[in-house]
Amino acid sequence: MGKYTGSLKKWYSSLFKKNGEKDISESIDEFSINEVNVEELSVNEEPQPNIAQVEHTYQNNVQTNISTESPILLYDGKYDDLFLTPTATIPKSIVREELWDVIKERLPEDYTIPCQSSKYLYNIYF
Amino acid sequence: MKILLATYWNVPHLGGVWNYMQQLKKSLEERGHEVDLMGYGEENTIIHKVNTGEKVEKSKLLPFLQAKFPLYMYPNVYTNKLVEFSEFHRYLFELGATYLGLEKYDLIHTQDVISTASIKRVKPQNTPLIATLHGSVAHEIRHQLTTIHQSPTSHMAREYYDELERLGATSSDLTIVANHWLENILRDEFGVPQHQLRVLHYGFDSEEFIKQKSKQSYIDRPINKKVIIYSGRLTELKGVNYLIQALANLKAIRQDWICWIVGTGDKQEELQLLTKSLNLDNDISFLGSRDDVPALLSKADIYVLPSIIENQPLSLIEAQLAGKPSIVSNVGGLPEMIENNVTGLLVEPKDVYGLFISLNRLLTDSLFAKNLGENAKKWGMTHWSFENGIRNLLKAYDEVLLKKKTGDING
Repeated sequence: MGKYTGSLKKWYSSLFKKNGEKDISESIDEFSINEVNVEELSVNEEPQPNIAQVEHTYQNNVQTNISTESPILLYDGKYDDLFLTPTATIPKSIVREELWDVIKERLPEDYTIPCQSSKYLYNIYF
Repeated sequence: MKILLATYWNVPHLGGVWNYMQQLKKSLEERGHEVDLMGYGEENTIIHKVNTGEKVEKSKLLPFLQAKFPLYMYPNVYTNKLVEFSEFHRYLFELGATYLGLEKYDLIHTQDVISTASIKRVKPQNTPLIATLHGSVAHEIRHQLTTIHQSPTSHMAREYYDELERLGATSSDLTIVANHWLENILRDEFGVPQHQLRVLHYGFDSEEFIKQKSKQSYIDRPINKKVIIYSGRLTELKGVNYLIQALANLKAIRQDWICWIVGTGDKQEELQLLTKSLNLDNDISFLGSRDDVPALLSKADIYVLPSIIENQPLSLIEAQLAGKPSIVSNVGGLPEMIENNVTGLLVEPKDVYGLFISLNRLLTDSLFAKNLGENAKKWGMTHWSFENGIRNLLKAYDEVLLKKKTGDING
């Protein structure tokens, strides 16, 4: 039975692995400071735009990006009857429909996550 | 019949549960049944049917499950890491088992409380479910919550596992245990109705063991020294550190022995350091995980099992069938396996001095040791008969099938 709890760390770590990438649970990158050699800095001789001009350009770019980018497809609530949790904003890409379709078809009608009969397990503090 | 043997543990693994599942499969198939073996695998990354190769990857189910099981909705689940681990794994097991398919089985036989509670939720209603419990998960966790899993929220994990034990043990149509120790715990502490419990000895394939015992092992015993052997996982609950301390005492008075420690586990490094610190490097050999345990046992003189918690360990059964005198802790199901001074010696758990005295006694009194070994073998060959075990199990299968059928007829 030790093998069960013994693998807790590995499992917990695996929660943060996506598609075989490295463990990101402990990979909070520190902000790096780019050390720039002062001698490499070139003096820009051309006239600089003022702040108002920069903001205007930025706004235009944002507008352009919004209108051309396709929206992220969201999960459509297809399997919500398996869960007590109401529909949340979930990217469709993380829902492996080829698996969940089979699972949904085979599960008993009254199946829910969390398990109805042991809901109180989650309220130990209450 | 088409039978599914299922466990929540990782399979294959080196241990009693997997060994039992394999022996049972072989034996059931010899009687014309079809048997599949299912469990977690590859360090909890898949749920699979070992014999068919069918599998579902956990990583494909987990992201959506996490999204639908959010922290803001169920904060207590995330408060204790052990509870979080268990809850996610429990549901993943349910979903994985469902995906792999349960509807084709005439009977499902689970091997632990977690798979039993899980399968109960997803199996077809009329499929009989029998559970064989190989130990008390709740009791083991309680111990670990004071040591390796100690945390400010340990009490939550304790309550959670207590409930899981009760839930699992009451989810089956029949719950089989190997001894009265576990039967008493489940009935008295977890409220499992007596009519749901059955004490059945697993049985052990002694013919196969004898075949294995006669196989050659390249590890030779030393001349003029006796061999003390421990075989099992190197985890805290096995109490191997107490054996090593007892051996340090033993070395102070005699050096006519060596010790083989067979197995691996998360305590291996710590135990090796302890061995070194006690200057026992030349007296204790860590042999690692091995497939020639029966042959090693046949070369040994004394078997020791210093566990803190124990149910019905395969390694002790093997030692008995090998005719070795045993020194084991007086805990769990062990007193039902060893009659003190008749088939072995019982020592209180964590009792270093008791282990030392018992070891010295068996090393000194060879005739007494020989008698204990012979008695143990005689008792073991009858008691652990796999034929008897399987016969009783098949009776239990029939009983539950009939009960289900009658229940169906009665609506």
